[in-house]
Order: sequence, then structure tokens, then C-alpha cells
Amino acid sequence: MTAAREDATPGRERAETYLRLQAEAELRRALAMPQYKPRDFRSQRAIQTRLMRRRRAVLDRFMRQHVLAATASSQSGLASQLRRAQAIAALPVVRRAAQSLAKARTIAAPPTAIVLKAGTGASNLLGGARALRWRLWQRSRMSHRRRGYQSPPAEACLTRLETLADVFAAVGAVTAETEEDVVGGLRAALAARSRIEQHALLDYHRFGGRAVMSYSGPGGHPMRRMAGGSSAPAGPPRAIPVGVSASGEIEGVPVRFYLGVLVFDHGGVTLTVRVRFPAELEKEDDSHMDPVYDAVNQISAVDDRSATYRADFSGGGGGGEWDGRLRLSPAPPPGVRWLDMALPGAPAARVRLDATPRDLSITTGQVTTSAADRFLDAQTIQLLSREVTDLDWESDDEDEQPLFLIASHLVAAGVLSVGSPSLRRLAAAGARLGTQLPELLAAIEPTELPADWLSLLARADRTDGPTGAIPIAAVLPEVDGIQCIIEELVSTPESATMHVHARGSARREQMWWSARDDAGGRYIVGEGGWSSDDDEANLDFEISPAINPQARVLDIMLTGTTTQVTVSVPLDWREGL
Amino acid sequence: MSPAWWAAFGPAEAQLRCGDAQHRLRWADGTLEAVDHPDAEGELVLGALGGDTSPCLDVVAAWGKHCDDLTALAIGPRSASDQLTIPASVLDEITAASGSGQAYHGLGNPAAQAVSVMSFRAPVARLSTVIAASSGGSPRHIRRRVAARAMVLRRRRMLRGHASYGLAYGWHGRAPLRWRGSIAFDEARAELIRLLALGPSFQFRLSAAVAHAWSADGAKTGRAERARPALTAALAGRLAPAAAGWLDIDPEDVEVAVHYGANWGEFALIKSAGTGRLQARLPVGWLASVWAPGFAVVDRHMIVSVLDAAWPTARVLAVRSPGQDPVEQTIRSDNGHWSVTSR
Repeated sequence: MTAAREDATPGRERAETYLRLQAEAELRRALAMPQYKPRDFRSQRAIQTRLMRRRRAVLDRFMRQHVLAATASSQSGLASQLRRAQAIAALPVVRRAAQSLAKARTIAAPPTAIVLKAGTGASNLLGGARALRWRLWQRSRMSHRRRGYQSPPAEACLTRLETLADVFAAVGAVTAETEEDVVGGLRAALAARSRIEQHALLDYHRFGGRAVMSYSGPGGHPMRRMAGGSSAPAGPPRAIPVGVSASGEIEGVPVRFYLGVLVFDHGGVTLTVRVRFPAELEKEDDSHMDPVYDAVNQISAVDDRSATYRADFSGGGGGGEWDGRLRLSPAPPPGVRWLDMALPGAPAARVRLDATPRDLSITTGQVTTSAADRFLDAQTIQLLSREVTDLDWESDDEDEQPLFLIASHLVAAGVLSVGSPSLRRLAAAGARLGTQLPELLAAIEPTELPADWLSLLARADRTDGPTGAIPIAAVLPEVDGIQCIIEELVSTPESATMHVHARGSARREQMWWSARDDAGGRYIVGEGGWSSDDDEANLDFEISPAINPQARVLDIMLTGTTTQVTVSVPLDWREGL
Repeated sequence: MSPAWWAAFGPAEAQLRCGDAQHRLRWADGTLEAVDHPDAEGELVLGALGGDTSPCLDVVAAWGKHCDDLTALAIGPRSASDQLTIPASVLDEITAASGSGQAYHGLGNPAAQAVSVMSFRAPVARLSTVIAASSGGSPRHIRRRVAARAMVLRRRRMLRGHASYGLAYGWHGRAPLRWRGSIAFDEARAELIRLLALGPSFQFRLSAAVAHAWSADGAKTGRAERARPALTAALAGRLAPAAAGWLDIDPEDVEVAVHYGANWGEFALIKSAGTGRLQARLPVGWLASVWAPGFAVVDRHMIVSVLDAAWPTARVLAVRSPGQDPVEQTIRSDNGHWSVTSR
């Protein structure tokens, strides 16, 4: 049931009204589209099967005739006549076989082309991956269409509104409840008019359980919001840097383990772990992977009082690596000084529980910029460095840059004023990329792009990042209901990854991560993978471009709605596998 | 004194299966009744005490619960030509999830009704608002469908980059998104869908009831200001197609604001470069008393207010074109089509 708005501030009312009117406009657009009639996929599959069988039969017949002709030509003096006759007879078959092969190529070839295009076009690995994902997604939709699947055309109307509502909620222009209400309303309205799958009429939700920490929002923009849950439990979390490695062998496969940071939270204890083994073994024989995975799940620990602990692995891997966390069960009681981790096929690694945390400089300040400005700046940086954003926006004009359209909507809804500095920077980025700005933004005067943005562009293609890891173990002060522990920073020549453990939040919040080094370089901090459980979450953030090898200190900033926390991390790289 | 919001509506009936019998639901004078349940109140009390409830009374109770639900306006029809179809499969899903196999049919729409569980924690007069659908015993196919839906949501998140790590590597031990408890669809939404499945006549009457609840004379008027964005959108979504037909303009060129004054409101047409843009201010009650009965535009006049009504006739104020004063007209419904009988 639609609830009246919680917050009746004029700005929010204007934004909510704008969003709801957009929903009405999208519904009108969808009503001009034909009704969606989902195909019967069982009969569709039967047709496909019959078609494939026919093509195979055609190819078989062609091959048989080809072989027959070749054999005949070698056995008889009448070979040339026979071959010509057979070739003439086989012509229609050849033509159809060629058509079949062409069809097969159109299905198989595009991804290869996309990979090449993404690989050459993208400025760095991460940007390449994102560009590739976007292009593959677009291609998969086309490919689905080719194979008989057609998503409802009106789905684009819903997607546009979803993205807009996500952005509005993320910048605090509307509440999360309003976002869900508006999007849910349009979804049901479209379904009731057969413009999308009619099962969308029913609004699914979790039943019988309380809300848990989860992440949602438009893909790619650096904010992620936590959905309601309980507030952080009593007792501050703790983190201890470990940073030990050990080598071993499992079923003849050389394996190396790395134990990063020990985290005490929620009465539980987890230890970050990475395992590496030769990737080529995996390629040669898939069975090599399972013993390693099984071994990771057999890790155990014994403490200085001879008490034993199970270590349950959660994480993922592939390509010769498994990364994740070991949750110790039971949690070691207070007073335990160390744990010896029993690693399969390797000597035990000692983890000190009484080690002192690193002395890191952590400063807290007030946020001075608006969430909308931060959102737009983060997106503009992404657009500048990768030439794409992950905003999910479908329109008839593929050349339209979604970010400019979103910015127009933010201005039209009164969320951003035309004099906003972030808009001027967006205009400058548009000028730099040679993009035509929408009418509403055309009059905005571009400004100088900040120097650290330009430094980011200058380093975009660098692949000289240090290789190693830093067990940071920084427990940050609570930022607007969210408490984060920066666990580790892992760097490769192309990019870096920051592992974060977060908990808490009784309401959705905005979290912005950014980083700067002491050499004047700026970095994009984008969300990678995540997992969540109750009101805890483990998050991976991808830092790009590659960290400057000359840099000695990296300032990592977490910005909430009111508070900003900065932690200065000395870049003393260690072997991190 | 203005007439009752329902005065321009004729009665409407729907049939639904109730147990082994085919029963009638009748809407008249703003009230929905289960005609074949003369002792509805007694049945509700029995149901609250653990006895069986009937699908008829469940629908009546749901009507009472949703007659101020703004979601009905978000989903409901925008014009007479805007057809809503609630497929039987969706209604079956609701029925199956509620653990009942009883189906009902309203105005030709195949529908299915869930047996709801009444909880007695309010006086009898409020029983209509305390119905909650049973949550137990989901059949296997429902679980599959729910799981499929969850997968669709996950896939959408993945496509947006939320679980890219999970996609690339496949998390073990913990799912990227963990659902606590079972997944179910929103009960209130399911009830609303069942009401919309009663057919177009009931869809317009429910929309009118909701609009009236949030109008100056309605029960929710005290909270109407907080719901202004939703009410503005509801008004805009319905006035735009009507105004487009009235003035031959693009529906996107219609700007609407909620009017709170004592008079009927205001229309202004702003012309520029061969196109016209209508700026309109109308009260929310316009939706209940004018739009929902189906006479927003009659004889190229936009009806802005009802002076008096006794279905099938109504005395109304009508505007010929923006900027002009409204004129009184008497209109009459003939087979659902309203026409002017006297000026």
C-alpha cells in the first residue's frame, strides 16, 4: 500500500512528484507499445531442436556426398563426370549448409569480436572488463532475440524508471520506500496491461524474516545503500593484521597460502585467506581444482591452550586462486594469545591474537558537498576514464550518454541546480569527450577539470602498479550508521583491490569511497564483489588505475551523508600472493 | 452542498464462486455487499473465532481495506480504453500460496480466491481491516516460481554489477544475497489484484473510492498533503489522456497540480511555436466524481465539477476551452456513454 511520505521537505516533495510523473510518462510510452505475449518456450525449443536436426542432416548428407564423390573420382575414369553430376545435385545442399555455417558463425563470432574490441578500446583492465560486460550484455540481448527470445519492449520503460529512482534514492532526493513504491507501482501497472511479464503483478518480498543488510542501486555508481536492519551490536569490532604465508603441496600440486587479517565482530572471528596454485594444472585437468578447494575447507586451528577450532571457508576462486574468509568455530575466547592454523600440505602458520593493531592515522570530518554533487562527480570521473558508465538506461538513440540524461533529470527535479559545480565539471567532461549535451544542460558553462582528475586520466593506461598486499586492519569510526573495517589492500600491476568488512545501519545510507596518494594521484574506488549475512557484509572494492609505484601513502576516504573518514595507509607492500 | 461522490455511478455486480455456489457481489451507493450473505457480520465474527470465512466476505473485507490505498491508483485504469487484464495464472498463484483451491469468477474474468484467516483483535466494525492471508503450505510449483523470480532479481543485480565477483568466481559458503525466511509476495498487493480482477466497473469504482478518501471530503484528507506527489501523479495520469482528446494536444504537454481551493480549479493553455501546453489545477475529488464515472470529456467539454447527480443523470459544470468560464450542463448515461441532454 502506498504510504504517505515520511519526509515532507519541499525538495523531496518536488523530486518525488517528478519521479511519479516520470512513471506516468513511461506508462504512456509503454501503452503505445504492443502487448507482450511470451512465447511458449517448450514449443519454441521443439522447433529449435527440429531445425538443428534438419541442419545436421543437411550437413551429413553433404559430407556423405562429398566423400562419395571424392572416392568415386579416385576409383573410376568416369570420375570427373560423376563428380560434376554430384556437385550439381549437391548445390542446393551446399548452399543450405553454407547458410547453416554462417548462422553458427554469427552466434559464435560476436563475443570474440567484442573481447577484441573491449580489449583494445578500454583504457585499462578494469575499464575493459566493464566495457566488455556492458557490450556482452547488450550483445546477449540481441543474441537472445536472434534465438527467438524477445524481452518485452516496455521493459526499457521500467528499466529507465528503475535507474532514475535508484539515483534519486541514492542521492537522498527520495526515500528508499518511495523508490520501491514508485517502481513497484509502474511494474505492476505494466504487468496488468500485459506490457511485461504478468507475474510482475505480484510484489515479492521476504516473508517472516527481518530485513537484512543488503546492497542495491544502479550498477556502477560508487554508492551502495544498505537496506534496513538492526543497528550495530554492542561492542566495537577489532582487527589484527596477520600477513603470514606458507607453502605446501596438495596431491602433488604446489600450493601457497596467505593469511591476511583477523577480524573480531559480532562475537565471531574471521581470518582472510588466499590460496594460489598453478592455474595451468586446472586447465590441464579440472580435477586438480577440487582437492585444493576441499583442502581449503579442511583448515583448522589450535590455540595456545590446545583447544581446537574448525575454520569454515567462504569465498570463491578459479584460475588457480581461491580467495575468501575462514570463520573460526567456536570463536576463540578472550585470553587466547595465538592460533596455529593447520594448513593442508603446508606447515602451520601462527596467528597472534595479542598483536597490536597498526598505528594508522584516521581522521573524521564533516561532509561539505551534496550527495547529488558527489554522485555526479563520481560518475563523471568514471565517464572520463572509461568512456562508459554502468547506468542501466535503454533508449532508442544508442549514442545518447545516460549520464547526461540522468543529470538533466536531476536538474529538472530540482535535485541539482544549474549552477552546481558538479554540472560544470560534467559539461567539461562532455566537451572533452565531444559529446552533445542535452538541451537542459546546453547552457551550462564548463569549468576546469580538477588536477587530480587529470592525473587519473594520465595514469589510466599504466600497468606498473606494485605487486603485493598490505594487511591494513583499520577499524573506522561509525559513519552514518555503518561501521567498516578496511581489511587489506592487494595490488597488481593493473589495478588494486580493497577488502572491507561492514556492519550495522538501521536505514539506507550512502557510502562513497575514494582514494588519493601522496603523489597527487586520484583513484576510482568501485564496488566489486560482495557477500552479506545478517547485518554484516564483506565487500571488495576495485581501485583503478594501478597504484602509483612512487606513492608512499594512500589516503582512503569513506564519505557518508554527514561524516567523512580518512585513513592514511603507508604503502609498505608485502608478498600477498 | 455537493452530491455524494458515488452519485453518478450506477450499481455494478460481479459473480464469484463461494464454496459450491455461485454468489453475487453488488456495489451500489459507494458500498460493496455480499448479496448472498445476509448475516455477513455474524459470519465475520464466526470466522474470527476460528470458523471458515467465505470468499465473498473476504473480497468485501479487502475492498474496505483498499478503498484508500493509493496503489490502486498507481495500478488502476487511466482511461476507459485502458484495459487491465489479470491473468488466471496470477490469481491461481495467489490462491495456491494461500492454501486454498477455491476459484471465483467476477464479470467474466477467471479468478481464484484465497481463503484468508481472520484474526479477532478488533471490534466487529473493524474486522474488515484485519484480514490476513494465510502463509502456510506453499505448493512446490509456487516455490519454484518464487525461486525463479529470485533468480531473475539476482540476475538483474548481477547484470548491473552487484555480484560480478560472484559471477566470475562463484561464491561458496555464503550466497551473494541471502534471503532470511521464505519469500512471499505482498499480501496487500495480492488482495488488490483480486479486487482489480473483478473487472473494469469495479476498477473504476475502487479508483473513485480511493480518490474520494484523499479528497477534501475524504477520511484521509488530513494526510493528503503528505501524499501530494502520488495524488498529483494520479491526477496527471488520468487528466493527460482526457485533455489530449479534449484539446488535441500531446498528453506530455499537460501539467497538473492538485487544487485545494473552494472552487473547481483552473485551466490555462500556453501556446508556443504551434504547440499548446495545458496547465491544469484540479481537486483530487475530480477523479472520484467526474473522471471515474466516465464523463471527463463530454461533447468536447471538459467536465470540472458535479453540481448534482442521480445516476443516470448529472448536472455538471463544463469548460469549453481553457480560459473560459464553465457552463452548466445536464448529462445522461446511456449504455455507459454520457451525452449532453440540456445546457
